[in-house]
Amino acid sequence: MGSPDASRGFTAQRNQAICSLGLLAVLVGTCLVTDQLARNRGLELSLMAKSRDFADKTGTLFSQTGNFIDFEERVLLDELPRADYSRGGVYFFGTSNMKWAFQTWDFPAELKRLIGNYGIGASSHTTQLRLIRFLAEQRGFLTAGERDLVILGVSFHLARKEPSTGFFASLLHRHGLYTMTSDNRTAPVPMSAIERWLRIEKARSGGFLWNFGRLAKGWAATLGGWHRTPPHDGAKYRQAWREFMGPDWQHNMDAEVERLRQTIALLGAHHAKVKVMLLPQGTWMDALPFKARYESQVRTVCQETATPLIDLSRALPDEDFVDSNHLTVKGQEAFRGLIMGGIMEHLQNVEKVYLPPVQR
Amino acid sequence: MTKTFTISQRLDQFGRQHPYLMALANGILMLFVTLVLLTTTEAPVVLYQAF
Repeated sequence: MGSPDASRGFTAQRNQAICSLGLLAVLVGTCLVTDQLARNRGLELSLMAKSRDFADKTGTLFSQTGNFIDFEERVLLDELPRADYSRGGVYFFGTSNMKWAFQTWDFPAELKRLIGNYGIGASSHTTQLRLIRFLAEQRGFLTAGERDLVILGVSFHLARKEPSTGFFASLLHRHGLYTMTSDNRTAPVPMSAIERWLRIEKARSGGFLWNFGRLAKGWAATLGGWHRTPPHDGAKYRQAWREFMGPDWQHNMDAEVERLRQTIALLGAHHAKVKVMLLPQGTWMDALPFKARYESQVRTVCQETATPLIDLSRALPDEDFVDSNHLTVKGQEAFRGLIMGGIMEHLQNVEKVYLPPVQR
Repeated sequence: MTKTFTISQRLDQFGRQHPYLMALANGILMLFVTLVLLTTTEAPVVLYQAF
């Protein structure tokens, strides 16, 4: 028989093990529960709706982040891996004014499968070309030929030389999932399926928690009636865009418009339908030299490549902008109203199926 | 003579007196730390600049 001391020691050790396992269970359980909540599509829709309402009330920017930290991470880690390009569809490319102009989060599932908004913030035509190449080479994009309609949403903001440490590069490297090869192509980093899954789910769970914080902020701003959006200041906007474009802007613009031409050629080589869309701009951009020169060059490229040009550059009033270049919630609704007709026309031509009506 | 206690001694004493409360506190702390770790990211969170 063991002594009382030995018995007490055993009990203490057992309790310690139980406590340790309990703490481990809290850790694992927290991760699992957070991930399950973050993967819930109904909850995601509900949170997006709340976020949109707060943005509308406070006059701030609404971004379709889903349950990720930003729009692009959602596209890269959630939308692209689930996309089925075999049926064709309508796909949008552009920079931040494209990604934030066109909202698809509240579309019916059938439409979400056929429409993709792949705008990447602070990107250039070079990045657009790189992204389209990556999708075609690695994801089966553009395999549906004429059933694909690619709309390049453009403005002079895409005609800046993007630094190698720019947003797109940091987005790719962010979770160690993608890299750039020596020939400047985007490729997935080799790793086991489990590790890839864990990294994606960690990003999803983290984004989900961040968005809760943003919602709390939006809720507080709505309750407190803090409308932080300052009045438009054209002079300040123009100064910021001059700095953004840099002193060598003409040379960079020429090079980037050439990338646009190459992008159109690449899409044409895959037999996709292509349209170029000049995105809505505020009147404060008129006094800058960038817009006129860029749009003139884009018109020339479209004429030379027989690419249809949709000019929406004057389609929305200044009050539909939340800042110099991005739309308010009302502006987003108006923009959708402007483009949905063309989208539905293409989809009904290629799908031959009933598509549910969509609020425009 | 006043007897002084270190923080660990105080925690040890509290744990012996209230073991379930101590376990609960540890659980909540672990939950909080896990949530903080989940939100850590290399993402440039403040990408958007209003201009």
